[in-house]
Amino acid sequence: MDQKAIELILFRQIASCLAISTLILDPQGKLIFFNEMAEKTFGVRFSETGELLSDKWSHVFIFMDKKGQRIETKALSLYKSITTQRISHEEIYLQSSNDSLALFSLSTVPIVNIQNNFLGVISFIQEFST
Amino acid sequence: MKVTLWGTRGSLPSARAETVLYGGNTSCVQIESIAGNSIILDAGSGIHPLGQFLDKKVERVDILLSHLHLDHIQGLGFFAPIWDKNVEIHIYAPATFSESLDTLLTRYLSPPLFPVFLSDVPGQLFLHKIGDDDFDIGNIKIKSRFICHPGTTLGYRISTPKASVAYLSDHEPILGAQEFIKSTDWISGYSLANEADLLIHDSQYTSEEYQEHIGWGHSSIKDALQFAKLAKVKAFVSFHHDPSHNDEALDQILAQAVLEVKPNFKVIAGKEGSTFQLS
Repeated sequence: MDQKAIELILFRQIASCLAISTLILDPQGKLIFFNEMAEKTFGVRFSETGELLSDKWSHVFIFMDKKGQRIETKALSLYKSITTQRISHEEIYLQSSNDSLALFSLSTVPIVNIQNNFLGVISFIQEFST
Repeated sequence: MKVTLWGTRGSLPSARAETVLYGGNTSCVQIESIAGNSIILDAGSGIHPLGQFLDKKVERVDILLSHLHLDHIQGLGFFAPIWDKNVEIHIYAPATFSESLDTLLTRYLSPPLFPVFLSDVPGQLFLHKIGDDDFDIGNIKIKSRFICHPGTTLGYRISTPKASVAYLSDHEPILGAQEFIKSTDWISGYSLANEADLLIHDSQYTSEEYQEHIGWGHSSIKDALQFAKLAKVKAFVSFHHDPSHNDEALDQILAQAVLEVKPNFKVIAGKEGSTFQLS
């Protein structure tokens, strides 16, 4: 198997050192990595799930609006970043451990390498109160 | 395939009495195929003696640069074939975003750093920007991949039907991690090194020195051996020796790392002038 692009490898290494939930998705929307903080936020472990296609991760990583309604995958800013290759930001809600909704910011940056190849996106998710 | 090490030193040419055994010239490796094609990896100061050695009737030279740090290009202006109008010189180097390869090389090969402009050398220069690519030079297959080292840097896998060599002269695959990730496709340089007959790999630091140089783009020899073990190489050559390490120190550092890693492959100290014949 060929190595992943060095930019993805380096982003994973950085994400592994961060205290902010971080997701890395490929150009097809496959979730190819999430870090330890994301494991804590979403209650799943990367070592158990491995890479997840979009129709799989959308059942695990559930983003909601302020009314508690689930936001469809294609309506998420991170998904739009994949299709437009543009930076995006939005405020979303996640279910907390006590079943209340908690407000998070979701920022996504496209990963475009020096040869102008689009390699995917990296998303950062941070709770407003932290 | 025949592999010759013309320069194995990293960072700075280091010719002195205490470095005679390993040599003082910076990165340069020659690979010759049975069919007669010849590839040069990097143009450190080791390319100067290589230029003296090459057949004077050579018509084409292919130089693959890992990156443009000075220790990998400083010999270019002193490489005899570039002063011969009858020689085609193809230089392959990693793409950068904004500037041409010609502009980047000319920063060094122009006054006041060098007396002659690159554009004025008589040899016929052909500059090729490459990245994550697969291509052929004659009967030799080249696989280039960006690897972990500051700036854009390529590692190479050079293959013929009978042998393969991986060249990762400046490489820090363990950056930001305590150990190698189990999914090998997430390891910088892994696919280049995987099951190579010979891996020529950055071995600049001791484990203690590495702790003071994390992020500088180089490996401890222990990490390099662990990378080689993971990649299931058949033989390993230590390379890009720190200029402060003399022959005695390099012998000791390599012996200690071998004791700790217990490699199940041949480990060879990268010494200038060494040749390896691969079937």
